[in-house]
Amino acid sequence: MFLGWLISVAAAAQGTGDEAKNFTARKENASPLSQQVEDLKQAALELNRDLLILEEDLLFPANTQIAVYVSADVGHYFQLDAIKLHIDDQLVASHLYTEKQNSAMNRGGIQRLYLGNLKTGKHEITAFVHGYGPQQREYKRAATYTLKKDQNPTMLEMRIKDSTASMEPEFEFKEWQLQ
Amino acid sequence: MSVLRPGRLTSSASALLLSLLALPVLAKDKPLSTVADLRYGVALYNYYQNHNLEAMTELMVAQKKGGIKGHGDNPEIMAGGFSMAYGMERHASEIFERLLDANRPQRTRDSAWFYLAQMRYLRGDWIAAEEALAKISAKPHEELAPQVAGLRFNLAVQRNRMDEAAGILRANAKSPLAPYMQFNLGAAYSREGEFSAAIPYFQQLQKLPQVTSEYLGLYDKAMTAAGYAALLDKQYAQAIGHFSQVRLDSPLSNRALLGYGWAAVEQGDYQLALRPWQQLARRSLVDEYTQEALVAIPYAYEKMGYKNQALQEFRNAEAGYLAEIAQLRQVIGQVQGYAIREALNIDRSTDINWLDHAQQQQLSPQLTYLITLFAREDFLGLVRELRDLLAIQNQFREWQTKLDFYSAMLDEREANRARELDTLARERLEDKITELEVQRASAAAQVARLRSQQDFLGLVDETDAARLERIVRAEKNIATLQRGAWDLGVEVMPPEELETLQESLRRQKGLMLWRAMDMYEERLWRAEVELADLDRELSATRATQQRIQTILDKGFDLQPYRQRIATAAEQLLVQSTDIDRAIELSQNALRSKVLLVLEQQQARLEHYLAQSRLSIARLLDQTVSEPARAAPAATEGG
Repeated sequence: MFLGWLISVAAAAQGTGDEAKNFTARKENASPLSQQVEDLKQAALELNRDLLILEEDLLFPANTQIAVYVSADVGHYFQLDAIKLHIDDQLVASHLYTEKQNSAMNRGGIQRLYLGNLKTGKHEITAFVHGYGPQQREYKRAATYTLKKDQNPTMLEMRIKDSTASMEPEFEFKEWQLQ
Repeated sequence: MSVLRPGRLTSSASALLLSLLALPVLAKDKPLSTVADLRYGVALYNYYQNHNLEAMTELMVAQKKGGIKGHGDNPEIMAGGFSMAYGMERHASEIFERLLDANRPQRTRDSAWFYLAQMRYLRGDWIAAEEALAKISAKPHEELAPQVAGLRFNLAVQRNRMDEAAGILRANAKSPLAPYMQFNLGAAYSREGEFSAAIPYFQQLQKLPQVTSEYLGLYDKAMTAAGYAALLDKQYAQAIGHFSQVRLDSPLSNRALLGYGWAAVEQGDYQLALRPWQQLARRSLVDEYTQEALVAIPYAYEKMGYKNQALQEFRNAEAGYLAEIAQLRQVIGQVQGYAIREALNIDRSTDINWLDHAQQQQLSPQLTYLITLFAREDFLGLVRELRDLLAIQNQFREWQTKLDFYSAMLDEREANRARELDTLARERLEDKITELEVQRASAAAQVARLRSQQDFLGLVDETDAARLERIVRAEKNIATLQRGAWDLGVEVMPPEELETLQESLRRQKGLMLWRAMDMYEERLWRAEVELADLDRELSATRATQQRIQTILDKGFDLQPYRQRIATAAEQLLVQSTDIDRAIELSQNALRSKVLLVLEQQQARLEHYLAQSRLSIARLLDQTVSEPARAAPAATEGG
């Protein structure tokens, strides 16, 4: 009786896990529906792109636009937990980082923390950074940058780096110019 | 034929993730060179969080705004990888084919050929995949080399070239993919019926570090597969040994317990077979192994000669199957009746590992029948497709709301402009500014003159000015009276009184002059303050005028925005309709697959039910004709 019921090794290899891939079945996936979905995705992406550009033009005109990005080249001495961004002593953005977001940044990803408007002139940008160092030691640091806003869009990158010399994280701002 | 891959690579599209891992390294090694690179980084940030739609859009915005410079072909390779991860294989193919241009560096062409080979492999086009692999240079770059080896191995397995696959495995024994290669090679030998060749590969997996859930899952899978291979190879004791190594809380434990029982039966040890089967019988009837165990138990009792016990167990099985069939019918009715995505909890916000999802009982118990369906690539492809479509639908809804808001914002700007125009007309700001400017010029000239000439009398107040005027007039009158007395001898007043009066006037005038000199600096300061006030008023009026002028000037630019919003809104409407329709079709496709599996489960249960009933009838006949033995209590174990 059991031979009829016995599960073949091939079936065992197919697995109950999502890891198992029935690649031959991919052919089924190349159905007219899939092709239609790909076309829809392409159209949606283009529309999304145009809408994002329109939104940026409407809400953040070039002469007042400021964007603050965060990048991290850390892992040994720092794990980012939260950032609060102040412009001229006003809180404009804050973010709590998940493990996935930390990992994304450590692998080369850059987060756009803030996109807003700023009048021309001098402004003080301050980032209050909270995180954990070796042995889960808590770190609270502030990094400040004095910005002279002109008529061009301002792109500011806050870099968080491991310092092997001090075995602590370092924070620095880099202002980008449009080319 | 299936091939096992690392668990993190849960989708065929994101299977390329491992290959793409090299990209951030490249990004890190080279410092950012232009501002567009920030978008490149933002795209990666989204990609690593599985936000493929956002990642793709970010790259497209960067491209529209001038492209990403300073990273060679990486952005294009990235775009290809993102496209694959987002299920846009045609688009990805186009990108990779473009990268095959002879003018591109060898490294880029190697990557492009690899991705093309990968895509062809995923489509099951083995020959075309091998053709693409053959185009890769003999020594691909170090990030790519392990991926190429992995794909060559998979192709060798798929085409039953076991010796070649074994050779690749030997050459990559330290690769993180090696455990998967070992399992897949073992499974391939098993499929060919070469069980003795298969078992050593499965056994290799006993040496895994077994620290992560992924490795533990692979270990359980290997031990189960080794058990069945040994069973088919008639190595029953060895099979029992392998099955015993599967963790009892593993998703594969049901399968292993069933196999354990059959291996014991093959050894003639029915008592031993009952141990795992009775453990299985206590579990929920939601998979084929627990269902089979219900009829396997009375089969063992019958073989042992305990017919009454067997009869009772067949009756228990019959009741169990009937209850399960009733529940299954109810689930089938529900799946037919309501949206499949609600039944399966499909939501784009969740990055679901479907196996975990099902096992964590987030699905209704009967839907755990679908675990094997979740393991199928075509089903997962449909789920991903539906999830992507739902994400687009959500985003379109958000855009619709935003566009309404932006239109209202433009209306407000327009109204504001009209109001300002009205203000401008009413207040005649231009005239006011001209008037103020004349006043200011005159006042400034006056102040400058007073300062340069130190004209302290020019700054006396009205009272003092009147008083001074009276003194001057009185002095003139006294002089007239004195001249009259001297020239004509007419004395209106005695000369002494005139002199006294004259002295008094001189003293008063002196006092006044002294006071004017004393107050000069203060009065001049006050005059300058007034002038500054006038300046401020003038500049405020100018600012008002400037603001209004800016609004007026900008007002003319609103129209292009309105046009862009209107065009986008129209596109949104059309595309939303298409997306809604595609979602409906996608849901129907999913529903059909789910129903098919549930109906197959129902058929299987009905088959077991029929077998149970036949066995009951058979045993009842035998009970009438011969006396039965009582069964001993089965010892539990596993």
